Amino acid sequence: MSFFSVAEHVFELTRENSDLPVVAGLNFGPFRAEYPTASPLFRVVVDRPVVARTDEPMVRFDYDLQVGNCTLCIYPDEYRLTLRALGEESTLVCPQARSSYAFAPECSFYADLCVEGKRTPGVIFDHAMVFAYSFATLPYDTLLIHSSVVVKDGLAVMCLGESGTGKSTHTRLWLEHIEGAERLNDDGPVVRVMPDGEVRVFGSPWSGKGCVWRQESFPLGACLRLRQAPRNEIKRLSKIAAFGALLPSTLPTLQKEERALDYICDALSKIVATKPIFMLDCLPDEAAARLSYETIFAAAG
Amino acid sequence: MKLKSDYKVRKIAGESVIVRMGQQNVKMTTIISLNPTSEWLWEQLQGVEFDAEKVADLLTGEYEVEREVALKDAEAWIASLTKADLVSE
Repeated sequence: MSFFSVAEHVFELTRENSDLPVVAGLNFGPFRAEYPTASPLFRVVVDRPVVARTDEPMVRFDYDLQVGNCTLCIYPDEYRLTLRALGEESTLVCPQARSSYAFAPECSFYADLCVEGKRTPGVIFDHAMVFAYSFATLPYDTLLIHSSVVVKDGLAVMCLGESGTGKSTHTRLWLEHIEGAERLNDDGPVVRVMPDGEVRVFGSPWSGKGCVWRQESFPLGACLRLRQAPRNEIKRLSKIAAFGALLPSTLPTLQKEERALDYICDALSKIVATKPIFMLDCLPDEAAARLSYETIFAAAG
Repeated sequence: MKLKSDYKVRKIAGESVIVRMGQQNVKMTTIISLNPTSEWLWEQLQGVEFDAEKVADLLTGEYEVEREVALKDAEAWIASLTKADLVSE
């Protein structure tokens, strides 16, 4: 048995066909929770063979990963995420009937990620966990947001945008030019609206090429939606525009069902109600980092 | 025409919006903001076959507005819904 804690949600990865430990990548190391104090929110059995289904799903959604691709199939009685990369394929199943789609606390998954003789690439393992985690934590105002995050003076600043817009570049410019700035995560941090209403950003095992796996969290200061432009310009968004700026950076697989979308909208609604969200048109230069830094911290006082 | 049935009105930070997620090959997500009158019309017209005349009837029944003005508003409202792809013929 292996326990992990991400954004204070504990989950368990387990084998049922051997006593071997579950070998998760280095990126999971800082998130190990050897002695959980609360019962886990969900568990993933990682070594159960998955029998292929040939019947037609209600919803089928294909999408690309940075490396490889995925297919999500929603059936009346279960969710199936098939992941393909580097010539390997694995499937994660959430046997939760749609009719009782209540996100029960005992939410559980199984997958053939670690069946004997299989060499599952890290990219598949990581994305399967991203899906399981995001799915199971939805009812708890918890969202994995595709972004690169810097921390300055104890506040987290999240940079969002389409792939290739320069999220990591912009946070790197902060590290280089804004004294005391550090990176919390470079790809998939977790944002959570805490029971007292505070919005916090947590490090996670999912950090892309940045390889920053920090078991730490900070209050959210602001979000920046980045767009490449021939000049630097920043503008604070209205609440509805802010919502529109954040929604595309949530996990696309979760937007495919009304009930899940309800949870996403609820959490985002709470975030945009209290936090400043900016549109940043920018060049990849020092002036862009100074502009966003000064604007955000002037607003924060 | 009819309102497309697969959209629901959501409250985001106190405002009423319709969220239309990007379709298979169009990644663009559209957020349509509804003012109170639009939201009221949206509720009244669920599952109902309607045209500009019908919308104008609703408007004149609920608000103090000249028929001619109501019809113009109704046409503009339908045009904006059509542009946002929220109605079907």
